[in-house]
Amino acid sequence: MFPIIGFLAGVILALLINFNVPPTYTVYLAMAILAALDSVFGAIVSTIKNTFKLSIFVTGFFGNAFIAAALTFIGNSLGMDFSLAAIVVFGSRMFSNFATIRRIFIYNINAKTETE
Amino acid sequence: MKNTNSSLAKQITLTIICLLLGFAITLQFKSVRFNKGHSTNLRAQELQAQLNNEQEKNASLQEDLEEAKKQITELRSGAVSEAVTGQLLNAERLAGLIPLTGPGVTVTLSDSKGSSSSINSENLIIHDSDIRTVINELLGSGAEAISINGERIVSTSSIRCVGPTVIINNTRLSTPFIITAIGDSKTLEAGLIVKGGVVDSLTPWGINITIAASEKLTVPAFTGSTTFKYAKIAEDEKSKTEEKVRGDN
Repeated sequence: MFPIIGFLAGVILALLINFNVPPTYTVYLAMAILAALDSVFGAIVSTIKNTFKLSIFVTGFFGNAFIAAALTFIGNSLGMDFSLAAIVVFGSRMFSNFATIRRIFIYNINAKTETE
Repeated sequence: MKNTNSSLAKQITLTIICLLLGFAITLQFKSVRFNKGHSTNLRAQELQAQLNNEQEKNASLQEDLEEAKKQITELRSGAVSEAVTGQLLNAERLAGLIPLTGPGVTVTLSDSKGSSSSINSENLIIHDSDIRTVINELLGSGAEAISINGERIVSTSSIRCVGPTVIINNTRLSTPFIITAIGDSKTLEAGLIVKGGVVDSLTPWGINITIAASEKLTVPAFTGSTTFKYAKIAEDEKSKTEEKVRGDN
């Protein structure tokens, strides 16, 4: 419950402050968000599987976001889009995580209907 | 007790992380939307501002120039001896710093009207080299002062193609190029239309060259910079000129 309130508070806070990320840096923030979302999906899966560990989630959340942004920066400096690597990895992992979530839910529903 | 504590810590941590995530996502949404509307215009606006700035600077410099020129005329009309004034005028005439009038020819060059689908369409337009050839020919025939579309040709003038235009004395010019040359009009004309000369080499491409002799033409003064940044008067020459000036006085 609290996390959802926190999320909404973040949304409102961002809407209220009069600041925009300069165009040069939106790429980094986007990469960080992608990595963070990947962590969130991973966390959802692990919660369902009852293997969720806060420390792993927190380190993954910040670490992945940082590495994704750093990779983008290095790629920019070296003249090659390294961020593609992060996009592909995080993107595909998000899909597979979602697939896992889907499977678990459908199995659960099927199991319920069968018992009924 | 310990269990609830750790559960509370977990809740707080998750709340903070969700807050951060929501904040970041919303900020990104907002920024991207904001930048979409502005980033394309940003560059144009920036350039426009720069242009305005430069134009203002230009205008103020032009004013300064006028002021300085006024000062010069004032000083000149002052107590300077006639001999010095004469020398100065002569030097200015050589350097192209004053407008000159006299007989001469007007050469008008304009691009060919021929179809541009031709293989050698490059040859149908006037290049800097064509202008240089004409000018060289005019100088060779004894032209004393030359201007192109009002740009005086002086010893430091460059003539070069930049895109579809020609830049002379850092001023962008385009066709038709009207070259005014002061000198003996007959000699000048003859120099241009001599067999195998510049007119012969350009007319086959359809480039229009018209030469008009005139009794009285005016060639404007050079308006560019006349300051030398690197070239300095050689030492022995300096002493000579100083002596000369002393002798004149």
